[in-house]
Amino acid sequence: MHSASGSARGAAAAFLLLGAACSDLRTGTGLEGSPSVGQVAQRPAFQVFEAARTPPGSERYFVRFASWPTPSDVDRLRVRGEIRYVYSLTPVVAIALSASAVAQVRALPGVAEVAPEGPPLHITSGPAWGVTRIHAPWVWNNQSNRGTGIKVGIIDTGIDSDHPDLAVNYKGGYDFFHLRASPEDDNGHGTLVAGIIAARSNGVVVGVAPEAWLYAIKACDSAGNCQPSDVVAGVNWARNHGIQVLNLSLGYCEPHADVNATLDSAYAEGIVIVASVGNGILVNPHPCGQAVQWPAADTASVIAVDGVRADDTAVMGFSFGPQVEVAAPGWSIASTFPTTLGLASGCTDPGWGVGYAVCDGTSFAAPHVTGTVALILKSGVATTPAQVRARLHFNDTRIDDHLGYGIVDAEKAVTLAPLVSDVSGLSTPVTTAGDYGLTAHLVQGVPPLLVKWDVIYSNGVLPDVHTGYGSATYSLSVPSGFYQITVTATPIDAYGRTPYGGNTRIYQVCTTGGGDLAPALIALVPPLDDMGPNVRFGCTQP
Amino acid sequence: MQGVLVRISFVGLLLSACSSATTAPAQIQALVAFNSSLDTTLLGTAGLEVLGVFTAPPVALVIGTSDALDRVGQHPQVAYVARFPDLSDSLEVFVRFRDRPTTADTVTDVDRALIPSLGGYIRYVYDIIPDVAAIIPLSALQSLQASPLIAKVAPAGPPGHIH
Repeated sequence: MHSASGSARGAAAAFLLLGAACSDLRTGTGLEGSPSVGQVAQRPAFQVFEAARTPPGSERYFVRFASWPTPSDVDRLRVRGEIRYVYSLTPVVAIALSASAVAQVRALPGVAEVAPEGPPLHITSGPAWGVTRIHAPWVWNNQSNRGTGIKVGIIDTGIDSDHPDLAVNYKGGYDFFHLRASPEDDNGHGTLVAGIIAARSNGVVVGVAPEAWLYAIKACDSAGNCQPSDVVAGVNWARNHGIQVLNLSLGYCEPHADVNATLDSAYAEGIVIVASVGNGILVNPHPCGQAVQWPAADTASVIAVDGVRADDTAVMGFSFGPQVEVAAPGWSIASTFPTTLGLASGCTDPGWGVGYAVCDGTSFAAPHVTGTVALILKSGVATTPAQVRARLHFNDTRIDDHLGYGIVDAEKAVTLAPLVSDVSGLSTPVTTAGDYGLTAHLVQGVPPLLVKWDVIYSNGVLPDVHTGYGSATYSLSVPSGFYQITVTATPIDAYGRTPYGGNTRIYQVCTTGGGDLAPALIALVPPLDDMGPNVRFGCTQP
Repeated sequence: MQGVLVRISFVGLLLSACSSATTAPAQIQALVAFNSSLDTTLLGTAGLEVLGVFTAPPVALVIGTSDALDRVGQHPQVAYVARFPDLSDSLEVFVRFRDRPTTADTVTDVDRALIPSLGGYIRYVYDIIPDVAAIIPLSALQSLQASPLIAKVAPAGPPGHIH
């Protein structure tokens, strides 16, 4: 934990009011209307137009129809503005309109009301900015998904199980420090983490997954020290009690083989594991420096999370490195705090009465991801840890060693992450010329999507771009020769755009025209610039 | 290894008796992990006393000054130096018994009796990995490692910390 600037009570109240107002608008409760009697209401599929923007001179509006909008209604809107959402819970379309277009839209058939969207829900400052920044409210409001019943284990200093914002979601745990079944928090850290994950929306703060079930696995003492054997015991307990996602906002400078082996085993059994990378040089001079700590550095099994500020910038003093998988809010984070403890060192009192604190640290970034994982699991779009991880780095592009694959986004994770998880049908090296059927596999749970195939040959064959409308397969032509083929399969949305990352495979082709080489005589020889006399294009010849 | 225990006790007494004096540099226990094989000569040259050695991974439990640990930590053969917060005449270890290579196997009564017979005690018997966590006196470390019942002994290492 580290000191943070406080936030005024008035600002908090204003935020909450704005959030509530926006929440109502988002869910349609402020605009909802019933179809007219006699009309046939056909609920449209919920559509998200992720690439939509708000052009200069435009403002965001909600357009409410008297009945469910037809595709023609939507088309008429599309030519007048930038649609962002077509809702399926209410007959409403969210759209950016210019002032002149507003009047046109009001005059369209079927339109009952055009109302400004109001203040943005996505605020970039304020005490509860983290949950909003990662778009968790969108998931609650549009998918009725609050992570209900997902079992979240928090290996930490315990949880204040009587806290009014946590008591409902608290379902048990174990204290491995005192060897008892009442893992009460005698430090405060675990309660802060718990609130970020699943504070019930009945208090001042709300968690990312406000109906997830919390399990306190106390493996750290009142001073925050976490003995490796207790951490292993905690992971073991989690496995034996059906925990689905584990949060470890703690770390070691050095790898512990048994801790890693335990986490690897838990991961293999289906538990998603999230860990903070460490606060680097920000807290106290630390022997780890700014290296990513363990177990976050155990990238095979652990999602390593770094922290960002409210302006989306990395906290440069935090730990960082190639192991960072994603980033999340980790600076000036408000959450629950034990009502019986004094304010934690380095944290500030937000002034909301007993039981809350504002703190800094990657400890508080990780639970934003853990809560998002709970939403993903509840949504059913991913079930295995690997699938969940793919959902978290939906853009498929690493940004840097501070942000990893970027700032986690719950909305995109549950809706807009139709990654191609794999391309099958051919393995490298290719030793026989011919045509091969390739299949793009989408992340489990994603409905069939269009896939764009980009094929580049290194042997002079013209590149091919094939859009597999309605199909995720592609017939790859492999002529004889010694060369490479680079194939990228990218999902595309209904408007031909490719807002998501693709999956690239490079095939080494090693064939002769007259008679193909026996596979046993062919081997890849990296690097290509080290080719000997019998090696061509990465293929060895007898 | 009995001598080691005596030495540590002596160091502890010395630190207690001379806590107000500033001349004697503090003694620190630490694990020194090597990239490949252990080099106890390197540790001795640096002024560190070896209290125990482990082979997989190659790690030595040592005691010495902070400066000596810093010097060793910079050696290219050394992967890391992990310092314990306090001096202790016991060590937490992960132990794997030969009779229990997998979690499907059980810890036998004979296995369970070994660690208390050496003056230590078992903290956890895990079923997610085929290890037990135990506290063992430093004086009994070699005996534990030499026992025919034992497949592996690895130091648990210093505690981590919340972020």
